[in-house]
Amino acid sequence: MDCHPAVSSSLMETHIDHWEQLYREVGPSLLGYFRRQAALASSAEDLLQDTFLRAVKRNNRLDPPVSRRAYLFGIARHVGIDALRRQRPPGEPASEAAAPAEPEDERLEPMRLAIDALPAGQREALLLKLQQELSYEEIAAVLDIPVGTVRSRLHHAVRRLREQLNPQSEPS
Amino acid sequence: MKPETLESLLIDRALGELAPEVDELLAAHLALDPVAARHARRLDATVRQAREAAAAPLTVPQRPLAVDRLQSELKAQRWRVLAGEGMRLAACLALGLVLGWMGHAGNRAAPVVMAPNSTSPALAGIALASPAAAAGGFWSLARLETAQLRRTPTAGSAAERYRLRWNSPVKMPLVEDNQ
Repeated sequence: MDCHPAVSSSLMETHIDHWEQLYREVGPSLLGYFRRQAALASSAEDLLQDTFLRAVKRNNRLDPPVSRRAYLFGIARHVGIDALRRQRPPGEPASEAAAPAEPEDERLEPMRLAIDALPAGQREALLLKLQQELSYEEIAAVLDIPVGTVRSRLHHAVRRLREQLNPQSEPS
Repeated sequence: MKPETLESLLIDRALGELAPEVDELLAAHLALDPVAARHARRLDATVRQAREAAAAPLTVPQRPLAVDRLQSELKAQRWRVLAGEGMRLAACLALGLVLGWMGHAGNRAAPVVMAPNSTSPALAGIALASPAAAAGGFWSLARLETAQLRRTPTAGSAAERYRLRWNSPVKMPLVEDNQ
């Protein structure tokens, strides 16, 4: 979709309709993405609005190379990072652990701890894969890294989870 | 198949990233290799459990999209683009003005002034009547004088002294002296 800003008012209405449709489609996933991060959960709705406003500001990119969903998640990631920087005093390390948004399942607690213990890069790629069902290419676009790196991070993460939760079952 | 390669394929399959044709080949391989099949089941279980642990119910945003902010941003972008186009146009005009002024100033700095030729009283009259004609340029005295000299052959020119006589087209022409 051409999103040149020099548009007539009727075309602008079309653009607004398009953004509203995207908001309905991707908004819940993005809201969940923010709410699952403990430090961002309280301001998730504001961050969601900021994500769409920033997407509109970066016009001409409504035809991104991978997918609009991945494009919006990439912006949401940067909006979240900026929000964490504003919240956190300089020098204090980041806390990116996921916030449980629902009553916890005891059976899954070891797995949650194992996911939280993953290196940040592996955890981020894994959560984008498992929570948002993004493809390798989409995750690469969100994180702005090569597809091979995404694959490598996910493979390391899965191996690590398996080794931590089933240490006796090594591959033959 | 190397164990590392097999495990990579199994993880890709568990994450749903394996191409269908590769998936079929892998399924055929697992049917013949029970150890690999057991390992595949473990990996599937790990990924399924991780998906359950990471999943959370999707929540619909309570607030609608802030359309007024988006509209104001789109309008601001439109004005920014128009302003940018205007700035480019103004820059082109300014550049043209500067170049034109520089060219005009260069012409004024080194004017070509021709003295009236004493042998051409008519041109001398023009020069006296219009001093601007003495300056260089298209309507300069130099151009008029050159044109006059071309039209008026001098007394000693070859065209006046000799005449070409051509009696027959199959013979060489003869040159006769007029004087």
